[in-house]
Amino acid sequence: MKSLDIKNRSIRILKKFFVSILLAIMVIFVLFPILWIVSTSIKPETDVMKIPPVWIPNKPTLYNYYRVFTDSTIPKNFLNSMIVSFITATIAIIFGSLTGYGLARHKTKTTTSISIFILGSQMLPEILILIPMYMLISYMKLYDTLLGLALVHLFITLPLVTWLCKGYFQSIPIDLEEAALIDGCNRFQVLTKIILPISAPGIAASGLYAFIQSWNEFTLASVLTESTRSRTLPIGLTSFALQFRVDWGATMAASVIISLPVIILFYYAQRYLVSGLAQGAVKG
Amino acid sequence: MKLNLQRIKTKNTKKSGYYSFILPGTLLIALMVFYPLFFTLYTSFSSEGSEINFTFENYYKVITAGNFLTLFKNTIRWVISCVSAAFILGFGTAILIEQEFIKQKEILRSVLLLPWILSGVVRAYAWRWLLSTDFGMLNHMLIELNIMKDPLSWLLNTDLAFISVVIVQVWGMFPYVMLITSAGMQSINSEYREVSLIEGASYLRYIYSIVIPLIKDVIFIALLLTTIWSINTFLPIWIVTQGGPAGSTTVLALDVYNKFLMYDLNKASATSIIQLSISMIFVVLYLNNTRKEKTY
Repeated sequence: MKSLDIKNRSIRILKKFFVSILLAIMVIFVLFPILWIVSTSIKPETDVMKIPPVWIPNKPTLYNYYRVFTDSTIPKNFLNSMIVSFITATIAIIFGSLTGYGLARHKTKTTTSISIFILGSQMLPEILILIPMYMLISYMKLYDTLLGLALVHLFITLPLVTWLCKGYFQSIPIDLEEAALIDGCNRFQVLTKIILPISAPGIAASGLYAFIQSWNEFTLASVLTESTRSRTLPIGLTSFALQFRVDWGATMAASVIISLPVIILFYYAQRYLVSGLAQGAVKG
Repeated sequence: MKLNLQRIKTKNTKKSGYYSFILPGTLLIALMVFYPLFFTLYTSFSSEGSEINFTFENYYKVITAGNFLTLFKNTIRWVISCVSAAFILGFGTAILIEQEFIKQKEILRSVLLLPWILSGVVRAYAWRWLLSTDFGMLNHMLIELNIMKDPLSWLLNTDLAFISVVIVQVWGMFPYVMLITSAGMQSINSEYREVSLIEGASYLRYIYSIVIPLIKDVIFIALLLTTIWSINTFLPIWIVTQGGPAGSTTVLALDVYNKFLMYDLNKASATSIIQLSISMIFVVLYLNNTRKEKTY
């Protein structure tokens, strides 16, 4: 009996060891490129092209960041990204929360089909809408403008927000609304006085998620903008890469600048998002 | 009085009123889906210039072009590699994290989720730089660890280049699989595990006979979504290898983008429709599965 106990315990310890090693490998796999970005971004020019490469430079410097902030389009790109993502997230919240609310509360064959259609629209490739939207936006005289890009980004953000909001509204018991309706509120008052206050954190989180998706988007932004006036951060990032020579120090510093707001916003909103994301409210 | 209440209630809760909430957003989405769809279909069936004539010429040219077979094979290889690797890593990591003795579950999950929330452009540049033959940290680390002797030309050799872009895509995609399978595993009642322990089942047996059947919908979603994403993705490839060397990493989606950049709109549209038709198979499977679930 005793020997069995010892055997069991050693198996358990071995298992813990094995699991920990595998998890450590996954964490290294995830962090390796990220640390490499940060490491390169604080290297002086001479260390960036060093053979063999080093993790920590002899003299860490913020010179790459200084160059990116003073001698590139990144500050302007940053501002553009802020505006585009803000506009698209705001419009998506306004339309998406209303549609999501209706779909959550009124369930018929038709509305179910609409829900499924909205979910499906997220799976269409950006590349499909590239040229048609280019034509439409040019026709509306919005080519190379922040508003034009923000409107096209609704293709990504609106279905996302709608589907996430629908999830939140479904989790709010309907009894509350019925009571208010009987007390003489109309449906719009029910929404603004009861539903919105309760679900505000969830709606805000889905708005932040929409903001992030627009912030990160490359394909549409690359075709619908052509000058610094309206180019966003992901496009600005490619400006350090010439055909044969890439300014890696600046590219990595700019990568950090693009990623930091996204990481902060995502972890802030994360707990409201997980269940919606698990149900497929995602754009790859 | 009772009658009166009933009347107020019916007046206010007439369900069709909800359509005024639903329609604006829905119409906006419908516009953004159907206008591009018809536009692309139309362009794919017209010949160069804008003369209106219905022709299969573009599809014929695209399919009979010398590189189409390679393109098609690359796409299949790309999708299968990306999806299976992302699934094994994602579900595997979820199983590891859900072990009872792992303490900082939340922190681990947040760290492992990082690649997924970064912009695709950032991901791609980071890996392109990491994979650099002389200056890249990956070669250096592999040599330091005595795994190999000489640096590998990751992006210049056709097979290695293919593996490289798959790694970039999987790095960005596996955290999503981890996220949803991990959420699925948390919803499983812990009694199942206890009972299976008492019955003497091994952990692998528990995963295989209890966990997988219980979260099979989640697994289905993960597999279908990663498949659809992989079919539609071209950005990491475009930045890391530009489809080379010698076209070895060019997939359908990248080919569409290249044709658009060369203003070859008719053929680009035809290729785009072919790509869309393939991904629609998986989209329909996915939507059907969602429709069946009660929770949508």
